[in-house]
Amino acid sequence: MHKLMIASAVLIAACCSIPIAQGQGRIVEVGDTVDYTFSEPPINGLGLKSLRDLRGKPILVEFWGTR
Amino acid sequence: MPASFELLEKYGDKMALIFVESQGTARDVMEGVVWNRKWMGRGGMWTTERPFSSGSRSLPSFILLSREGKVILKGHPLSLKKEIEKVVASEAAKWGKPPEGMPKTLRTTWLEFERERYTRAFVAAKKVAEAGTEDSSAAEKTLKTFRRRIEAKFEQVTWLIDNGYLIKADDMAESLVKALKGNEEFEPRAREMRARLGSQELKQEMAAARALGRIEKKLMSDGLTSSVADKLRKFATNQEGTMAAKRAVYLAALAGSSTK
Repeated sequence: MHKLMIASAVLIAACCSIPIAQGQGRIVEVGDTVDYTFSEPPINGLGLKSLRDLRGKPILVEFWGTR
Repeated sequence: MPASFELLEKYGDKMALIFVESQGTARDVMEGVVWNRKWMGRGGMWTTERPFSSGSRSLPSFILLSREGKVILKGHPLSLKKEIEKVVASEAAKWGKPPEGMPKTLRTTWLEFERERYTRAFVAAKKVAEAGTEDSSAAEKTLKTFRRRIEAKFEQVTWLIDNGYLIKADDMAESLVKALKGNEEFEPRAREMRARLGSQELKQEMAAARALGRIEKKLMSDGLTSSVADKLRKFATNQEGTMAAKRAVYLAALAGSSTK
């Protein structure tokens, strides 16, 4: 029953998901330390240049789509 | 996305939230969507640059980074909602604490720095560095990190000035002057920056930035309506030649291409 519920949840998530554009960004895994320098500061980022400048606080990076 | 905003509302400056548009949409089109969905005033940041990938072939997906930039969780934000909340709470609770591996003698130093008492933080770190103990090299490393972070703040204020965000630049410069009072290395630069913001040279820009800020508040609450677009165009004409007018033209163009 439990397995069935998990499988259903995964299936629902897959059906509701939106395809992403190809290319860009290396795949990172849990445990990797990452950094990134923006070529243009993020909107509302008030000039933020690099993820390194946010060290000291957790960063939630959410990938989304406008279409 | 709403769940992420709720986290940001709960933890404020103790976390950061970055949304990465991953379908190849142009930056200005994405910005139009963000204004129209009334997300702009909620504190997140938006980019079309994908710094890295979660490996997921569909959206949405997320990567959660620790305070030290390490990937601690990734996957689908809805199926891992509770885990995300738990990890963010745990990381945010470490706010003000030194990074892993730092000796106890530097705990107060880091806390002072996070509380934006930079001069005190420098004094405390230098004391440990000069004591010649086994913690001295960690203190030197700490001082190097503090210097880099302060330099990044100066660069940020410069960017804000150059791009017409003068109100925010002034707030940040004021905080830097306060935090660096008595610091021979950085205080003069902070004061110079603040003085420039209060100078005659930037007086008109400052007034224009203040007026544009009021229109932007309306934008945040209403989205890119034709009424706000009209206000932006009128403002751009009245304030012609200022950086704020340039920004108003840009925002009005966004409204033109994606008016509600």
